[in-house]
Amino acid sequence: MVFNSLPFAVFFLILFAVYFIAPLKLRRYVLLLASVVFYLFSGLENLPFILLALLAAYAASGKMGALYDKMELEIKKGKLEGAEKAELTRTYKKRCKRYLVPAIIFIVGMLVLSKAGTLIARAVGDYAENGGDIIRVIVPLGISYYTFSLVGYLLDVYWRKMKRVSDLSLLALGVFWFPQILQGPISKYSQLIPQLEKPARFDWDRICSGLQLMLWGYFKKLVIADRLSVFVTTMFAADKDLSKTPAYILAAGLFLGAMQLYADFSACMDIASGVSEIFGIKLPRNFEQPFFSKSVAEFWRRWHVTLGTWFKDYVYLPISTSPRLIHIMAFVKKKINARVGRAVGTAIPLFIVWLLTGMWHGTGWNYVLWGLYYGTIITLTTIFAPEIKKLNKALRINTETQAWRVFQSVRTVILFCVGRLITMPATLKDSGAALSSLVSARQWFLAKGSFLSYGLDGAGLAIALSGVALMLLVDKLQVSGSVREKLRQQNVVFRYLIYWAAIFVIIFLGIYGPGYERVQFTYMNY
Amino acid sequence: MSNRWKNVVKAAVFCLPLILYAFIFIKYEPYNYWGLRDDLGDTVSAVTVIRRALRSDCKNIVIGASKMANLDTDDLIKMGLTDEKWTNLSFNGASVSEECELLRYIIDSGKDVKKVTILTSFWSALVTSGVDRVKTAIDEIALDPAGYVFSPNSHVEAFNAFLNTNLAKKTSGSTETYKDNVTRIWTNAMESNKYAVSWENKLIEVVKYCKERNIEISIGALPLRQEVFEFIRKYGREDELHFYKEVLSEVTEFYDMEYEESAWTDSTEFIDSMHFKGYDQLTDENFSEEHPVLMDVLSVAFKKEGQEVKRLNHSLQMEEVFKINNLNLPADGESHFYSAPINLEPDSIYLVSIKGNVGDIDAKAKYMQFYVQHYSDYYNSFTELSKSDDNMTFWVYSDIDDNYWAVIQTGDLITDDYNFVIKYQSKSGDEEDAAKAVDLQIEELGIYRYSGFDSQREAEKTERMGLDDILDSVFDHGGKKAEFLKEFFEDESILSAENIQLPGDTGELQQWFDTIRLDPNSTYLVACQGDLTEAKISSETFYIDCFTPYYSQHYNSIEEYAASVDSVSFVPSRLPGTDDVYWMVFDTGDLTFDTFAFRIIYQGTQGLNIDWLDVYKLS
Repeated sequence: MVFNSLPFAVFFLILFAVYFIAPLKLRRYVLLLASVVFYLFSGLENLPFILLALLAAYAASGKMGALYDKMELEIKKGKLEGAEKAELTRTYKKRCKRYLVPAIIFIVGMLVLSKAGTLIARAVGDYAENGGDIIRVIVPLGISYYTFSLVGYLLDVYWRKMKRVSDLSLLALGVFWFPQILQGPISKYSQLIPQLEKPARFDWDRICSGLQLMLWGYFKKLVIADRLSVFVTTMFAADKDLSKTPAYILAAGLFLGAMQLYADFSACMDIASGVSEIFGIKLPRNFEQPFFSKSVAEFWRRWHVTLGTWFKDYVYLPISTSPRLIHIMAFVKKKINARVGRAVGTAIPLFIVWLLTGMWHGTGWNYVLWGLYYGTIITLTTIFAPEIKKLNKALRINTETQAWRVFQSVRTVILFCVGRLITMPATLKDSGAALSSLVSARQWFLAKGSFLSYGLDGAGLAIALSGVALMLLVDKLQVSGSVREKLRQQNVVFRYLIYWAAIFVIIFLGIYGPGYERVQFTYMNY
Repeated sequence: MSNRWKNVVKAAVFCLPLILYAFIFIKYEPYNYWGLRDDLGDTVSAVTVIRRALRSDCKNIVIGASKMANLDTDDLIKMGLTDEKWTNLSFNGASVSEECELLRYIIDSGKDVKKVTILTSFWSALVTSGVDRVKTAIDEIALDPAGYVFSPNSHVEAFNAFLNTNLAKKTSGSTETYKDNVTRIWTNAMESNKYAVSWENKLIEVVKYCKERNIEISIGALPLRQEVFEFIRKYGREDELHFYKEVLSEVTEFYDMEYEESAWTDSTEFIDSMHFKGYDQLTDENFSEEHPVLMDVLSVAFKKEGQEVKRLNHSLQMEEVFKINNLNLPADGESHFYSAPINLEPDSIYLVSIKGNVGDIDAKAKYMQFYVQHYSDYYNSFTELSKSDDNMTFWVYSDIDDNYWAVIQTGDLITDDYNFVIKYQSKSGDEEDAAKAVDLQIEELGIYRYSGFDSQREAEKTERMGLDDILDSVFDHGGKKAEFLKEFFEDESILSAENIQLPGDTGELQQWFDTIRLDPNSTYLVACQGDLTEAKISSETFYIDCFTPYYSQHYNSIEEYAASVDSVSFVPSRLPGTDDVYWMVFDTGDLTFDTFAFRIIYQGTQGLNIDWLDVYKLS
C-alpha cells in the first residue's frame, strides 16, 4: 500500500476516526494494529522477517538491559567508584557483547541475504535467459530501514545511550510504525519510542499542520515527481543508446532526474511526517534543502539526513575513534608525516562509509562506483581543504559573496547529477555511453533532438518545470526560515486559498488514476 | 464559542469549496457514471452506455450509433410505443464492431437479455474506425468507479462541461451551411472508404450469437436525408447500399428505412445528413405531427402494432462462376479431396452457397475445409486472399433456402486461376466425433460473384498497378532475376546486394545490414532469391527491419513506419519455377528520418543463403 493509492486514503481515514474515538489508553494499540495491517498489505511472506528481527532485538536488548540493571545494583550495593567501577562496567559490557553481536549478525544477515539473494537470482536468471524467475528472492518491505533502526537501537542500549524497551508492543510499534516503514526516515528509537508511548489527544492545529505537510508532499509526488518520471524513465530506458542522445538533452535529463528523485523522496518524507504528526509523533527531518548546499559533503548532510546520521553515529564515529585506526594513523605519522597520518585517518572511515552507502543504495557494481565517487570527492575536499582555501585566496576569490554561493550550489548540483549518471542508466556501459555524449562537442552543438520525444508534451514539460521552480523557491525560502511558520502567520483567507489551490492543482494536473501507471516511491525498495 | 465549535466551523469553511466542487463534478462528470445527470449534452460515450447497462436489467436492448444515442427510452412508454422497458446502448461514433462487442459483453455479463434491436445504416458500412472504445471503457473506467473519480481526465472533462454549459458564450454555431456539411462528409466518406464485407460478417456473427442463446434480434437501417442518395448515386455505390441489406435480411428480421423513395428522407426532419430532430420533444403532445420521420423510425424500431414496414425486395446481380452438383465424400476416416478450376477476380465479393447434408459447417470446420488453391504448391483459404482487415468468414444457415452460405471478399490476387478444393476427413481420434461422422453429401454448391460493383471497380482498376503487373515486371518465369522495367520504378534499385550468407548452425542471432534511404509515404518492393527454406516456415525467424543509425535511440521496424502493415512479410513468388524467389511490398508512413539501415536478422539451424536481394521504389 503506497501513499499515492486509494487503499491508503481509505486506510488513513479509518485509522484517523478509530484512533481519535478510541480511549487514550488503547490508542497506542490502535496504531500498532494499523501498522501491522499496513505492513501485511505488502504480503504475508514479509512478516516473518520483520518479526524475527523484532524478537531478536527485543531479546538481546532485554538481556543487555537486565545485565546493566544488575551491574547498577552491584555498583550501588558495593558503592563502587573509579577503577573498580570501570572494571565492573567493562566486564558487563563484555557480557552484553555476547548478546549484541549475534543479534546484529542475525538482523543484518537477513538484510545482506536479501540483497545478495537478489544479485544471485539476477545472475542465475541472466545465465538461464529467463529473467530471474528461477530463484525467487523475498526482499521484505522496508528491510533496510527497520534493520538500521534496530541495529542503532541495540548499539544505543549497548552503549547505554538509551534504556532497553521492556514493552514488546512498544518496540513493535517502533519497528512497524507505518509512515516510516516504506522509505524511512531511519528513526532513532531513543527519540521515537517516548513519543509512541504517549497517546496523542485531538489537537486541531497539530492535525492541520500534518495535513498541510501531506498536501505539499502529494503536490511534489503527483504533480512534479511522477510527471518527471515519465521523461526520465523514457530517456534512460534500457534499450536507449545514450551516446546518440544530444548532450544538451542528456544534461537536462540528468538535472530533471535529480529533481525527480528529490521531489519523489522528499514528498514521501513529507507525507510520512505529516501522517505521523497527525498522530502526535514528530519524525526526524530527512531533507534540509540539499540543492542549496555549498559542497558535496554538506549536500549529503542535508540529503537523506537520517541515513547520513546513522552512518555517522554507528559507522564513521566508531571507526574514526577506534584504537586500531589511531594506531594506523600513528604508524603513518611516524613513517611519513603528521599530515598524511591525518589524511589516512580521514580517508579510511569516509571510504568505508561511502562504500557501505553505495551498497545500501543498490546491489550492482555501479553502486559501488557511485559510493567510491562520493568517497573520493569528500575525502579529497576534506584533506585538501587548506590548499583549496589558499588557492581561493591566491585567485582573490571573495568566498563571502552571493555569486560565489550560487556558484557553489550550482557546482554541487552538477556533481550530484554526475553521480546520478553512474546509477540512472541501466548499466555501466550505458553510463559510459552517456558520458561520451556529454563530452562530445558534436553532441552538444550539431546533434538534433527534441525535448518532446521523451513521453511529455509541451504542456507536461511546462507543468513539470513550473513545479520544479516552485519546489526550489519554497526550499530557498525555507533556508531563511520555516515556510510553514510564515504561512501560519498569514490570515486564514490567504492560507485557505493556498491550500485550495494546491488541492485543485493536484486534482487537475496530478498524475494518477487509470491510464497512468502508478509510480512507486523511488526509495521504497531499499 | 468553544474551541471545538470553532474547529468545526473552520473545517466546514475549508471543506465548502471541495463539497461544491464534488457537486459540480457529479453534475457535469462526462459519462453520467451514476445516472445522476439530467442532460447528457451532445456526447454519449461507450462508458456512459456501459454504466447504463450495469444499472439496468437489459431485458430489451436497442443499440446503434449517434443517430439513436440521444433517445431516452423511458419516453417510449410515455409515448405508448411500447409497454416494455428498453435500454438504449447507442453511443456517439459507435462502429458496428464496437456495437457487436458491447452487445456480446452485456450478454456474457449475465444479463437476461430477451430482445435486441440493432439500428445501423450505410454510413456505418462505409466509415469504420479501428479504435476500440468499448474495450478501453471496460478495461479502464466503466468497472472502476474509484479509478474514474481518481482520474485527472474525468475532472478536466467535468470542468470543461461546467464551463461550456454555464460560462461559454452562446455562439450561432458553425458557419458551414448544411449543404456544405453534407458535401464535405459524404464526399469524404465516398472517396476514402471502400466497401468491406467484414462489417456485415460482424453483424452476422452477433446475430448467430444471439440466436444460439434464444435472444430475439432484429436489425434496422435508419433513414438518410434525401440529398445523401444523390451522393450515393454520383459515386455509383447504390449496389452496395442494397447489397448489405440483402445479406442481412437473410440472417434475421430486417427493417429497411433507408431508401430514397420513402417519405423518411424529408430534409426538414434532419439536423444534418442523417441525425434526426426532435429527441428532446418525444413526450410533447403534437410530437408525431411535428417530427413524423422520428416518430415512424421509433414505431418501426419498437414494433408498434399496425405499423406497416417496407421490406427490401431488391434482387442482387449475381453471376455464377462455379457450380458442383451431387458430390459425395464418404465418412470412412480417410482424407478426401475434391478439386476443380475456378477463376477469381481481385476486389470482388462472392457468395458461396451449399445445399445438402453437410450438418453444421462450423462444428465440422476441423474436418471439412474449403480452399482455393493456386497451382500445386500452396493452399489459400478464401480469407487469405482477402485484404479486409479481419478475415472472418461465417457460414450462415439460411431458413429461406435451407442451405448454408458465406460472403467473402477478395483483395489483391496474384493471379486469376485457382483450383477450388474441398478437403473432407470424417474422423479423428476422438471417439465422440467419430460417432457423429456422416458422409458429406453436397447436392449443390454454387459460387456467385456479385457483379453490382463492377462499374466502380473497373474505374479503380485502371488507376491501380496490380501485383500481377509488379511480379511480371520483376521475375521472368524461369525464376531468374529479370531486368526491371523502367516504367514501374523511378530509378535503379536503391539497395542491391549479392551473396548474403548468414550461418545457422550456431543457433545465434545473425545479422546483415546496409544503409538505405527511404522516402515518406512511398511504396517499396523487396525481392530476393535464395535458400530460405527454413526461414519461410515462420515469419518470426526471418524478418527485415529498419533502424536509423543516426540520432535515434532505438530500433524501428518497417512496421513502425509503415502506413500499411499487412504486407511486410516475405511471400514466395508462387509463379512456376520460382520456388526460391521471395518478395514483399511495404509502405512507409510519415518518416522522421530518411536514412535507415536495412537489416536482416536471422536465427535458425540451417544457414540462410541469399543469392541476390534488391529493393526498389515503386512509382
